[in-house]
Amino acid sequence: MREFILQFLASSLTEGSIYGLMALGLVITLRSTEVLFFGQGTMAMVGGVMMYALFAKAGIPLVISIPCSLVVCIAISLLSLRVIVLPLLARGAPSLNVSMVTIGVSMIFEMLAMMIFGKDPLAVPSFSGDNPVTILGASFVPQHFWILGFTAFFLLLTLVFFKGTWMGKAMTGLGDNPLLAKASGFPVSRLFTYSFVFAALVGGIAGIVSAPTSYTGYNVGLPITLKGFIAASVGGITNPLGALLGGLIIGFFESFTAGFISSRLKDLITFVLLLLVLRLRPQGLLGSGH
Amino acid sequence: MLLSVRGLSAGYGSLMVLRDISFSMERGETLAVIGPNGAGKTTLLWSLSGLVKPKSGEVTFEGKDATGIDCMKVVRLGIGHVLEGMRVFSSLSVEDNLMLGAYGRDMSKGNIQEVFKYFPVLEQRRRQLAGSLSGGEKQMLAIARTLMSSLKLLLLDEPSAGLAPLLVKRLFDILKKLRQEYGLTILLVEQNAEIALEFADRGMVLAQGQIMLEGDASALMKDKEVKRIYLGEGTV
Amino acid sequence: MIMDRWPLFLLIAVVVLFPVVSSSYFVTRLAVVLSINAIMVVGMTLLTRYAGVFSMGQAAFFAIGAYVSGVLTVHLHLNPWLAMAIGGLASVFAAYLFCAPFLRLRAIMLAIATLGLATVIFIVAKNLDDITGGVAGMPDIPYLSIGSYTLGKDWQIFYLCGAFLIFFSFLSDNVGRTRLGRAYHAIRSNETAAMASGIDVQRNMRNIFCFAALLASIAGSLLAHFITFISPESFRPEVGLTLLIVVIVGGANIWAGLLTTVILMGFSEASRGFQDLSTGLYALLLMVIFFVFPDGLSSVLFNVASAARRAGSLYLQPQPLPGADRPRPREEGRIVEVHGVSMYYGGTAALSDVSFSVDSGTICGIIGPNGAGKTTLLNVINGYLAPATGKVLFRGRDVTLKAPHEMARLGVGRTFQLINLFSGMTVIENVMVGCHLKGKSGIFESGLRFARARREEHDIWNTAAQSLATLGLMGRAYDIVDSLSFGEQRLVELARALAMGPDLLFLDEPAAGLNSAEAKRLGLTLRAVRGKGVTIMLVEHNMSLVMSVSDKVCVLDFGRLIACGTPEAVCADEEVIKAYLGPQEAKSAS
Repeated sequence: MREFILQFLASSLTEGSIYGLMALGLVITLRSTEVLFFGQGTMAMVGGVMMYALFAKAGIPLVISIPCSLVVCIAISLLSLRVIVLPLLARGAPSLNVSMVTIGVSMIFEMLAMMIFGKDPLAVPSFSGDNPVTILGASFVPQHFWILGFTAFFLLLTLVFFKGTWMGKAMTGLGDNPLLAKASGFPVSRLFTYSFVFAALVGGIAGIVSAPTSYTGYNVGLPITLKGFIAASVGGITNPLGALLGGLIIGFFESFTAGFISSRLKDLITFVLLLLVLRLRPQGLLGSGH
Repeated sequence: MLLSVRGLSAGYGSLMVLRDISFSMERGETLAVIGPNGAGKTTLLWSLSGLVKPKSGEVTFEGKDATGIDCMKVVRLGIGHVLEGMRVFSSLSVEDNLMLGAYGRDMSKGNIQEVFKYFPVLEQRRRQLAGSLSGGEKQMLAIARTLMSSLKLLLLDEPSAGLAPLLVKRLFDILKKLRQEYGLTILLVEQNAEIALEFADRGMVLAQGQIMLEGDASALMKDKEVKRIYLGEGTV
Repeated sequence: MIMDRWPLFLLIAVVVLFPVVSSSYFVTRLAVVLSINAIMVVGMTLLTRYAGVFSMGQAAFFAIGAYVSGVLTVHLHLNPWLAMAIGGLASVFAAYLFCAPFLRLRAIMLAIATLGLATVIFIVAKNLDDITGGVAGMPDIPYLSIGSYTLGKDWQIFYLCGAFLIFFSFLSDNVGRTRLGRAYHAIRSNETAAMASGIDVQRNMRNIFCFAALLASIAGSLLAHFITFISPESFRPEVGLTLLIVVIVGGANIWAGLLTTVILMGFSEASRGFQDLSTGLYALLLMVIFFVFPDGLSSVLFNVASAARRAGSLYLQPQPLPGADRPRPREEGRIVEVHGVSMYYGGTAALSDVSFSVDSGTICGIIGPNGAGKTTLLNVINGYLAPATGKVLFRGRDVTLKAPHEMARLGVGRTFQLINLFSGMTVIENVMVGCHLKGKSGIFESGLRFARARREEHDIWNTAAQSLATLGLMGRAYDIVDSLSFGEQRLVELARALAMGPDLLFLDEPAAGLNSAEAKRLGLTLRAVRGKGVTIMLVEHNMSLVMSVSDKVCVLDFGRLIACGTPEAVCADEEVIKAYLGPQEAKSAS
């Protein structure tokens, strides 16, 4: 029994990390632009399929294929920002409508990916082999360590960035009081750009490291954006750390539902959790009242 | 002449708040802009600092055209705008708020020491979150932020609003010291006519988007016209 | 009037003639699917474009309708029409339950909550194998029949769906053009002002949400009895998302929404051959449309709304309503009493133990420096804020905790500091919202143009026109309110408040932004309004206006009431002068 619980905890951690990363990206872009960027999941999808192309098919070593995939993710993110989000916002479109339009962005990239890579799920080999490692009775594969490692890295990076760099602090200020930021001469446009780059990195990495454990393919984008959004809502839609926490919570509930109740109801619990949080504490666990 | 404004008209959408405003400021002088609410005082500052684009008119700063330029350029020129309402970044510390006052420009720590000289209470609270400061302290922080990089012209929007009289006096004492030390040019928008005219060299009374009166501050203080515009005795 | 209704007749013509013209099996089936989707879109148009509620979850009610129909007819052999009705009830009930906790959320959170609802229903449908057949689906659903006539052929079902579509389009279009449609528009445009006009925002949003759910449910039942087989796949949450995008792109009225449905969905269904590309191309198409026409296709293709306005000009002259000019019975006594009201923001006292009263039929001016708490005081009396301590009495009744729309019902009208008009509507439509409380018809009554609804609409128009005529704005009645000058917009806001026939009118800085001539005219208007027996409470900075029209002036400073009396007395009051101009001035004045 103890092994089961530990196993589920392990999968909570790994799944939750992915959701947390997605949530983190969503929160960052939401705070600076007030737009809910549905293309967040597209970053994960692009990361995954790029790894398939570069690492799996072309055999390019990790050291090169990971950065290259990330570059593509960043390019797509910035393209969306410059071509869609900023022009619409400049025209005075309400941020809700702009958010809806970004759904279209993700659908278009989904189509492109499907045209290039086909409809079948794509397999990406694990980065360091498949020999399971047993810790305290729970079984991990090396890929899980990659996932946890990158998540921890980004957690650290987020903390360092927002608490330790001026740009991070400026972005916090921008989310806090946009008028004051503007009047103080903050380079608002550039800050938007950096937040979208950050979101692309975080989303891309999520897709890259999780591709070997679950198949990747053209249509992984929207569902994972949704999970990311739920994670952000649960943990605190205004708080980057809340986002990561939310991811872990969602991962936890999903794993335990799948393990102890039924894997078919896994998604159900996530949405019920969402509805509960929205009802009882709309700003999320760590969010500030808005 | 540091600042020259000619024929400035500005507003929001179809609402024209400022109509054909012209005035100028010499280096080192303090001009107080007073008048009833809705007169366009805040809009004047907003159109100078890049938050609102003027519909027509010309603004010249240090001899160069500064009409309708964006906020980033305005700050770089050395114009600092203190918004109405004691605005600070609540979730950042006092020190961070100050340092970000020079964000993108010279961010050496030397400036902050200078600022703390004039606002010792901010030094005491440097690591506290700005959101936890009292109203008066927030106002000081808001002003102190503009001092963090070479400030030539200070735009102050109703610094006394919402502050108790004693705090207001303290604040203006500090402003007098700063003005003397740095030769600051100050464009002060205020509802409280007495405080403003006592502090300034010249005054300008704005009502319904136009300049009704202007002149020497001490003369304006005695002028019955000012009282009339404010309290509306007789007809407008 | 016929010209005005042309899209409806076009729709009827298309529906009637279509099966005659088309003999292709494929095209007819496509048309049925389109009409089913269109029924959902009609409901969503009212919900989203009118009331501003973004619901990504209509698939939930689509599913409920379909599965209830399926289960009741297959397992319990109930009459399909009865099953459809029960399905509709179930959906409305579910919608009602959903509204209570979630309707207050911020727009984007509400949208996600609706998506959550659709997903939950989807998963439930997939997993209740015994009842719904689970992933495998539920086969052998019977056809609908009228008497002994079975509707089994595609063209028969098309006529059935078409009939429902025509019915609901007609109904929704009527709702959109009348009192409730204006109310929804008002809610979306400016909730604060909508409340001040007496609109119960929560209740109206709930009603329209349930209506949209009903339509989705009927669409689902129709689908079940068409394909005779349902599986969860047809009710994926994405369905609701796709339709929402159609509604956003389609634009602000029913007909444009229908056209967009045909274009976008027809395109995506017809390109089944390129099915895989269709999603992406579809997305591309809708984004292009969105970019080029940010207001949706309706701004270009249809201007049915403006036709309706022109049709309104049939009522050329406002006819005096019987008894409208009857002088109001002179009320004696105090209409408003404020006792010890205090209000705190953070640690500061926005209002500090404020007490005063206002006599009926007088004008009371409230003045004070910036930040003194004047607007806060108005908001407390009007119901937008609840005071920390103290009481507010209206005609002797305690109204401290009443909401703004309840105050409106009691006869309190309000204008706001910043213009709170309903953008995108004409001047007269704005004023007609002020008459919202004159009507009681619900969605179906307005939609089906029952006699009472038509009468109410006429009365509302009349009252609004009268109000505009009094202020000299009748000439601009059919212009979009955004095109008016600032001074004119202020007057429209006043007209709207007056159209309510209030006994007490709150005006928050009505002269702000007006030049001296306009301010003088405003003063005359206010005196005329007082002459009709209306009590006015006026927050103003324009001293000459306040002093010349007020019977009594109250002065606030730092949340405290420092003076209350006649204009002359207040002007000479030392404390007042000190508050505005400073202690020096006060000394020199004495």
